[in-house]
Amino acid sequence: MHFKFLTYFAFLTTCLLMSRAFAAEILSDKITVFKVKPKVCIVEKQGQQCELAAQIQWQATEPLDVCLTQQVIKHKSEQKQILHCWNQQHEVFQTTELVLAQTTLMSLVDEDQMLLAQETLHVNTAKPKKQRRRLRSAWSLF
Amino acid sequence: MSKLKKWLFTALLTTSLSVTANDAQTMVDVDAWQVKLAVGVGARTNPLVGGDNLPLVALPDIAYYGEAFYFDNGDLGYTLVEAPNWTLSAITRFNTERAYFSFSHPANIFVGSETVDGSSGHDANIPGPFPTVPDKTRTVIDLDDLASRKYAVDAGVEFNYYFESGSLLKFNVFHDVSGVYQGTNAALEYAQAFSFEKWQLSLSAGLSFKSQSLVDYYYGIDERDEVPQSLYYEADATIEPYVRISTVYPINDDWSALGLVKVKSLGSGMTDSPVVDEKLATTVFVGASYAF
Repeated sequence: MHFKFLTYFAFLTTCLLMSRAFAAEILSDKITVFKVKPKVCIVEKQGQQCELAAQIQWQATEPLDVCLTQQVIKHKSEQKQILHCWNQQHEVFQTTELVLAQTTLMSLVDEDQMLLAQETLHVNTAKPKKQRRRLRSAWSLF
Repeated sequence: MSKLKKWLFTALLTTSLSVTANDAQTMVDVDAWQVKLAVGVGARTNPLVGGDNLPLVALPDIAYYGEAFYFDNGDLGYTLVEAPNWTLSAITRFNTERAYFSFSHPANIFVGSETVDGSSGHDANIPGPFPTVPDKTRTVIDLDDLASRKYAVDAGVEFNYYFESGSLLKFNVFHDVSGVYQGTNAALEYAQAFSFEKWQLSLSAGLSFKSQSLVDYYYGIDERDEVPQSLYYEADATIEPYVRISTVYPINDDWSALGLVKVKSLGSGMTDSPVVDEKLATTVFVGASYAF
């Protein structure tokens, strides 16, 4: 009985933690809903790009000028690329084509680039990254 | 004074305790290029008479590992067996011996019992029983008169054994498959890595064997060279001990500070050659590396 309780507790805690990990982060009182689906994209092997049609949904308490941005990494520095903008909308539900090179942060920003909400899209690999021993020492050319 | 001694002893003890032995093996991602470029100052000494040191300004570290195939800093290899404690690979690569001749320029080679300063092999500062007189029979040849030495391609096998302690024992044997020197070379090496805070230190020591035909092709003098027959030199096989120390200090994810020293004691089969006038070949490099 005691063991069963512990098992249920562990399961519920894991579910809670996972739901928090995959939940959107709403950072403004003006936004009530922000969802991007699916939240996980599976690629066959490491380094492959993920192409998907994502459903974007957001709701606001009042009509807003809002843009959806995607975090991209160029030359090892993070940049935000604008995917779509809406003028004076308070509810949006639409499909957008996304190309993800890796796990990416999708953000909703206002006209002043103020962050309103964000959601992480995970890119996972079906075949995990494989490693092997390096057989020569580094810098051994000379 | 005793306080200072005590402090030094404590510092030494603390330092020695915080240095830990690491695995000499490095893991790399399969199907991914590892490309690093170091920029700094360094050189590889050239033991040839009139040989310029090989300048090292930019040093690449390039590797690609597939499931079995790999390219690593000039080695093109295929791993035949990868067991938990050992690997066996077939490898082909350029022989690096020819590189010295690319950085040599026409220079006079003095052949005979007398050294260049006319001291007949004695230290000029030590008075001998006989006065030093210039040897009129001394012969001078020009390095440019020697026939061109070619690059060779070696193929062979390499066996690596990984000890529980993290150290590595490496043995490889190569044969010239390009028909240039028609000989063999081999190496036996022991390596161990250490870390101290963020510093990573790698030490290796080994013995390098070069067959008689290899040493003779590059450092021997014979009928292919336009010199009198009296100057011919037939080289012996050599065994050359060497040590290598490299240290890396990561500055951030991309940049690291890097230092390398390799010292190889050249065998007598090579150093007795009239075209060689150094007993050591040393490589030194200090710089900063960037990982792409």
